Amino acid sequence: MISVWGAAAIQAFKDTFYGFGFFWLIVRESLKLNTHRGVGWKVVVMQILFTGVNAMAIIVLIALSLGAVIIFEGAQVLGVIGQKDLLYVLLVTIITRELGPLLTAFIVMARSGVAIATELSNMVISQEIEAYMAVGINPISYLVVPRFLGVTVSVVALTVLFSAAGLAGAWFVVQFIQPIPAAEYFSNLLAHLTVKDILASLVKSLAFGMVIAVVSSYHGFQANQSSTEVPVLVIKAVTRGFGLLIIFDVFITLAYLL
Amino acid sequence: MRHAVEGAPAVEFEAVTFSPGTVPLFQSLHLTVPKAACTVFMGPSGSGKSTLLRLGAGLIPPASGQVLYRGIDWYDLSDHDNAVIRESLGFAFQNGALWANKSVYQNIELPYQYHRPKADRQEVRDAVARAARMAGIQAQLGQRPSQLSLGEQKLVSLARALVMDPEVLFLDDPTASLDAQATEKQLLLFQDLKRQGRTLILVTQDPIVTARIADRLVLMKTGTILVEGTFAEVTRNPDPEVIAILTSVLSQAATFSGDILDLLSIDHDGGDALK
Repeated sequence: MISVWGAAAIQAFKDTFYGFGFFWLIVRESLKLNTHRGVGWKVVVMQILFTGVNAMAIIVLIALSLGAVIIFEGAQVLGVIGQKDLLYVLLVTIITRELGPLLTAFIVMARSGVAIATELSNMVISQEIEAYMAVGINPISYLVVPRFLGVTVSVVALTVLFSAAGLAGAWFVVQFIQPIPAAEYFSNLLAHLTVKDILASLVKSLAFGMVIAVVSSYHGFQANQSSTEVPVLVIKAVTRGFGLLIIFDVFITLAYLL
Repeated sequence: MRHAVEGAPAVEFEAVTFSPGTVPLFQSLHLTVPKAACTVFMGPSGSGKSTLLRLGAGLIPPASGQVLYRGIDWYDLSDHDNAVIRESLGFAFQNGALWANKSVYQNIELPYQYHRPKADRQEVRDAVARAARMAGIQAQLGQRPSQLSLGEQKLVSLARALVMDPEVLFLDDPTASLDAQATEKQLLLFQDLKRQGRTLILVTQDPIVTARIADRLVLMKTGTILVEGTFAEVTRNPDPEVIAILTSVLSQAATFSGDILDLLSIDHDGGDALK
């Protein structure tokens, strides 16, 4: 039993070590994107289109629902105990700082993370990656860097969209059930929304975007010979991605609170 | 910037060890592939021919030892030098390995665009058209890889390998899955490339291809080089193991063409040993 745990611990250490090395390689190649010959930006735009633009509808839908539920339930419950003003603290904490970035990241991981891991692992198996290497194109700079930049930019933009839809859009939804005067709602909301909250949200979304791109690419490249490896690697990418997102969320929240 | 060493062989394997899984395939392998000649790797399935080709082209790293391409260690190159050196190399894959999200035209175009970023559209078109003509796939340029047969995909892979007009061509079983007419066309192309002084490094099981274009034949058996030499030297080798492998490799082709062994025995006395 101990030897099994030991082997698992060594493997986890190796994976972490390789993961950081892979991350460093991506960052290094990202800094050189402008110097790459004739490749890169088009794939970045396509990745933003797929990860960002195509996910806008689902992000807005979830943000509106979550925001409306918090406003509706919050107004009811907090009204009973005479703490109606706490509604705005709750909204900012949940929508902007905590659940907003995390839910956005989960959705992007489930859509784009899965797509990246699947696409890259299939490319490894069909020797398409080797074909890039054979003609002198670095697969990290040509395939991973555009996905890394595209996913990171998209997660940041989608998190901002989530906050906007969850805070402002939800107010419109609630008007049909329990009207709150616009002046009262928005002035209170802005009074409780601090620069620190916005920064925490942006830092989280930036970190989450990088985690999603690195984890899904890393696992995509782990494929070897057989197409049966693809689902296994994709599941690994998603579970590890979700785990890492939560760990990063905890650390950034702790840094915010301290 | 590293440059190819003048007069160096095309590829040198020095004490190369490689294990694709837990079982080692190559152990301290030494081999020199001369330049401006056609070297053919032959051997039964699983003998490591394709792996050796990929090691030689720097697509997979050895566990230990060195693989030198024109005198330079593949793993001693910066990214920039690696990209520049690869302009002189073409690799045609056994399964085509075409980029599925690009058209046939884009598959051939990308290496040229990458290495010649300042080339105008007409120059790129001309280079693609020339490579497509050499491989005989002009009619397929507008199609997607998924619309092509395996044979056609291999021809596109060959065109992609040819588009930079390379000095060294690595060809992994280029004639498998091709009809007789396409095979004949490829043989003429390879002979033409040989006449131009290009280096061809081939993996094939096809005795006709081997007989017609091989300057050197390397016979392999599960990770070891059994024998190497000219075609005549290898087929004349009296070693029973060599004869057994030659027979097994050639038997399938002989089933389809009764005169293949005759061809070997006419051209090379050693062919008698196979009978």
